[in-house]
Amino acid sequence: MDRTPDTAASTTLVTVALLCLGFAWAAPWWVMEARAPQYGQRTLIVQVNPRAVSGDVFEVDNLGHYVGIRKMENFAPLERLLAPIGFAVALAGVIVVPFLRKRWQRAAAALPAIFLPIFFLVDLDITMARAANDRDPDAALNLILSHIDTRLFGEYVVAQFKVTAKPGIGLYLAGIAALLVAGLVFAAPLAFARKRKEAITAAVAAVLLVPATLRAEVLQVGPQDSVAAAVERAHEGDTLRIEGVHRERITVPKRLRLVGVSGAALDGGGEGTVLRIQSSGVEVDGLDVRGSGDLYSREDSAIRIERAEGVALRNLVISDALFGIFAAQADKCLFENLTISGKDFEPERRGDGIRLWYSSGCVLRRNTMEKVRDLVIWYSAGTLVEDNLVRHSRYGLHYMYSDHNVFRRNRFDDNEVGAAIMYSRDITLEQNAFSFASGASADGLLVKDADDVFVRDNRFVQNAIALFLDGAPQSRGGRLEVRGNLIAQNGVGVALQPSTRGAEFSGNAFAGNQIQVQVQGGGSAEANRWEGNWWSDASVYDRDGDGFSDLPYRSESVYEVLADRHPELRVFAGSPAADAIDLGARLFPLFRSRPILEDAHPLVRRPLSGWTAAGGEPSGPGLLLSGAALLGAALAIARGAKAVLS
Amino acid sequence: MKTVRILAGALLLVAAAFALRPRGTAGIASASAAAPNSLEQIMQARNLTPDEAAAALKVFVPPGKYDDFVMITSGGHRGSVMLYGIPSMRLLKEIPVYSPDSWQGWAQGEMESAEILRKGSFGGGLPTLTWGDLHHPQISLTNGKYDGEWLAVSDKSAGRVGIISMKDLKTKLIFKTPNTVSDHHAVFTDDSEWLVQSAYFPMPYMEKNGYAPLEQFKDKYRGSASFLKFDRKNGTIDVTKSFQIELPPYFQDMSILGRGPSEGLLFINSMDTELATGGDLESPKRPPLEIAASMREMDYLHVIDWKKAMELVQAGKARTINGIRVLPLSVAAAEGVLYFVPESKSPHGVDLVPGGEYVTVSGKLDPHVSVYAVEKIKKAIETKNFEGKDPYGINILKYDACLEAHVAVGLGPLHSVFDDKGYGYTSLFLDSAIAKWSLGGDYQKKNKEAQPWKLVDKVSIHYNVGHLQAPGSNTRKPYGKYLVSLNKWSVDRFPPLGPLHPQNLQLIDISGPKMVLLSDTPTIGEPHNSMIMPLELLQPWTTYPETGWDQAKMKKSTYATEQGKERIERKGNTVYVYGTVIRSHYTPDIVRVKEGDKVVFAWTNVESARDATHGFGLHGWNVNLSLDPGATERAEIGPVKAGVYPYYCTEFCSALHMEMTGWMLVEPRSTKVAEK
Repeated sequence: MDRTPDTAASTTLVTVALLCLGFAWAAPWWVMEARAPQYGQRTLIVQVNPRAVSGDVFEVDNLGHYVGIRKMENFAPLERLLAPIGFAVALAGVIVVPFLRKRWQRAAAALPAIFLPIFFLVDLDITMARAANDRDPDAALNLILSHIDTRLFGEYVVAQFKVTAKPGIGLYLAGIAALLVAGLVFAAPLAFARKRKEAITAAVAAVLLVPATLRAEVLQVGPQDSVAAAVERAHEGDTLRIEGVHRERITVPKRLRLVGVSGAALDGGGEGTVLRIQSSGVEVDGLDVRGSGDLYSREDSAIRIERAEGVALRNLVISDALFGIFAAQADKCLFENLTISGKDFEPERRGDGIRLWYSSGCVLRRNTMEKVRDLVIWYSAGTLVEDNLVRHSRYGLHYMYSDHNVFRRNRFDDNEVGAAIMYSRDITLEQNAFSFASGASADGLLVKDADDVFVRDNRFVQNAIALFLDGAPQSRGGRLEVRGNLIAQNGVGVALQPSTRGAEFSGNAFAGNQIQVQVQGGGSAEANRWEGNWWSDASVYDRDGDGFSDLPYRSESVYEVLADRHPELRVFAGSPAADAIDLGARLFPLFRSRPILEDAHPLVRRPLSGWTAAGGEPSGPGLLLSGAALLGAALAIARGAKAVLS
Repeated sequence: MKTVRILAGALLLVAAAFALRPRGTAGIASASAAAPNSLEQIMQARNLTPDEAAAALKVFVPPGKYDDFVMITSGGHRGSVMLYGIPSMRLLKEIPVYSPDSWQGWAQGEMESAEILRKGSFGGGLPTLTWGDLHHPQISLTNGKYDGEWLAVSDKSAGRVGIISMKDLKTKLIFKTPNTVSDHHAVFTDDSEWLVQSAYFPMPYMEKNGYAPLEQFKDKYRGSASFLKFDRKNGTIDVTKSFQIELPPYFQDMSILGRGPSEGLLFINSMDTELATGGDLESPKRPPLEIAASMREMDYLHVIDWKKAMELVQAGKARTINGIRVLPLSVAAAEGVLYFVPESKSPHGVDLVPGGEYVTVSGKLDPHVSVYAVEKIKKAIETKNFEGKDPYGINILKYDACLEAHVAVGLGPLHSVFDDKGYGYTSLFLDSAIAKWSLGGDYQKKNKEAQPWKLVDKVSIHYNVGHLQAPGSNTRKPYGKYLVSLNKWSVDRFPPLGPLHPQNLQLIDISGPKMVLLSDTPTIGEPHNSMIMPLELLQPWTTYPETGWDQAKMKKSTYATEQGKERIERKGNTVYVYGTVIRSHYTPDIVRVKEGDKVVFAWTNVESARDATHGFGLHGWNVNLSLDPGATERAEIGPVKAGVYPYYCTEFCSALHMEMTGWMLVEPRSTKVAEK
């Protein structure tokens, strides 16, 4: 059957198919929407396309992390690599289809374009099922989920998430292109002139060349080369492999990856800021960055990120820097496995280890900060801070005006203040350890003017004041929950301003604090809920064996009233002297005691959550020291009594 | 050792009580056997701890006796000043300044005070202001010490300064400073020849119509420091002898004038050297102002050689803008008038130790007080030890070269005051506490036992302290003894009083090594800062020196009327009433006018007896005069509407106070009505 070719129709079909495929390259092919209560009104959206995953990847990865789902960027690397080639082949096929004489030839040329959406869906389905179920067995919350049934399309529930999956515009476009090309297979072939043949050959070649130009380059920067020159030369998306020590200060204005080969370093030579990042998506991995200047007036830093999103810093050693990382308007950044130490100055003359300023959705993970001033998070919502260590610094965490943040498994040791949380809401602190806070304020954790703060399973040991609450919770319906913490061997376990109302304390172990609970400036702590805590100084009796004592724990010792006014008395806490004053209070009306709090059902046995979560019993030397202090107190009293008698 | 002894004593008491304990009864029984009204019994009845009882004794002032100090406190946006006695914390007086007050007849129909308010407004078509935000009162100085003669009170809402005479505790002047819309803080020089204020809001005052869009903030907006020539004889400000220094648009805030080694220098705090202007609603990429203004680590402490500035102005280097000479920024930079020292960002306080050797700054987000040595600053200027220039070409002195010490005090330090024993006290907003710390240098001779520049004590306050004040702080002669914490929130310190809470003034005893909280006092208005001086410096008149006194002009009034010369005069449509008041009579007690007339009352209180004040309240009109003994005051009303308007004495004056009344009869113009 010989038909007359319809040139106009064929050209239109090809053009439309090409346009569809072209747009499909940029558009999402598959869209997943997830809603969870902790994100309130916000819907998390992830869009998948043969070349990339985009949208709220960061948030979903973060959430996935808790149940052991691995990061999306780790999946389907081969497919992503091949996607440009597949696309090029499909486009080339579409262009040549109408000119091929034989139908089988046309079918073969059309096949890649037809196959593209089908392959995408099948591959996505398999990858997704694997991603959801091949989970990290060590993840924090892996127990709560068993097998997850993923679906290509439709609605389903994963944990507290409601997930809706649907095809994206790209998939529709690719489908249309596939249908059009399939139609062309059955259309009459076009005859073509020589000129046209050349044009088509050029077009096909151009299309096939596109992926080559898209491919990122790797530039080697040797020990003698200039990093700045390499940055200048590099194109967006290139990788710089840096070797050797470079005494340079660098500004990175484009999306590059800077990867250090072992021992690679940038050294600012003690002047200015060493590495300035001014483009989104910059990655820096495996470098030493050191030797910033020491001027506050310019905020000399090892690394400064300004107005750039999604910057990832990994495996860096930052030293001899005034500020370690100064991030201003740097959303969705990742700081992972960094070791930061400041200049060898007094704490008040140092800069911050990391300062996040007006930068939302960042992740700080497995970093160590030592001898810096503070870890600062200001005006930065949705930050995840986990597995970090801050020690020998000023404020372990200096935190304000930043909502919806999570702090987990961090350690704050030997700082002047462990953590100060102020003017924020929806803050979770879990399994952190706050130890040895000593200084002018010396709080393990200060919570001021904040709401919906959840302090769970943390360990507070040997701080002057373990937990200081002032104006928290503050708003109607606002909560402050202190649950399952170990609060041991501190000067004061919980210090409250009398305005603190509505805080809940349960399941905590108050173990041998010199003062368990103190109200500053008179008043009582009774406006808060104290229920089911373990008190090392409680007399317990549990007739029904339910684990809760039948005797309430009351803190009303006049000693605490006195100690509030005469902090020097604290050294006698728990000693025969303090007991004598308490006894005196009951006998001698001048010292009439005032109630501080009542726990109606104290725990009989010390709960273990706080201990186990943050590791180990307090050290033997600590106990020894306490014993020695008691002995000293008793001797001092004996001497005092002798002096008065003689 | 003392502690141990006290403790041992307590133990003995306990032992004694234990031994004397009647068997089978509670210990309380033994106490109730004590003599009636013994201190112990009172303490027991009122459930006071020994410390509370001691505090009660420390603050009590017996009836008829006076306090030791007087605290002059701002009323904030109430627009007034309050006087409290210390240690009793009794409210002694309120002085209205920027807002009308009907009790004292301040701008409540009274013509002179209304004129002070009118002249103290912006003019140029803007309304007469009837409110102000009175932030910081300053007591005039002689030789760097309080002399108790004048008060200067700043108005943050309008760039004005009010002058109060301590002769009669009344406002004499409200001065609107050109080129500025805010005056957070005004300070006197050591002999009160100049009153110095800083701009706070940068303004485009050099531009035509005073307008430039915020997009031109960096180029067209400017801050300023104003040097107002104060005539301490008359309590006036001479704008022709005054001058300003143009400054970058950095929100110049608190300031302090040097003395001793820092004589001739002015130190001003700044904030927003980021040059943020807000506008997050207009552009979501712009951070809100308070966020944008706290990005940088440091703002700049301005160090101004103001005597040199004055010489340059006198040499004609200034240009006149809106009626005042302004020394241009370029001249200030080139001639070494202005330098910057980095200071912890967005600080609240800049304070000076009594001898003038050290300047202290507290950046509220830095838990330290930064102490700068004046000698070091001077040396850095001399040796040109700079670490850079700001965008306006001002040299920035090297931070470490100027710094003497960092004192770790606690979280959220704001302001510092000083006592007579070599200690500083700093309010801690975040800790809700006051920190006491030792001064170094020569002050070590006074605080011998302490390490230099170290925290020695801390006391909790309730809640959210702003300023704090101690007698004579920031002068050459601090008195110590007491400290007042001016707390912004009271939350639960007073019984519930509705959603609007008073502030809380907490009195703290600083006479010993440990600070002791003595009492809580609720306030009226929003006190920001205060000054505390010995009561003996308050030497006002008890009655006016002459009968017929004009309180505004501080001399005999031209409208004064002697007894027996009372009269009613008509000039055209205006009726003038020249009357006298005395217990318990108005002369005249009948005033007849016609509908549409204007009526001007001029009353003279002819009494010279102490406390014999009369009022003049006129029914149906916004008129109430407070006619203090010897005073002449005027009120103008009209055109009046027909009717009968009684007047009466509003200040209870005598046994016949109820009868001290009068009539204003306004006869209708239409006689028909009258005839009926």
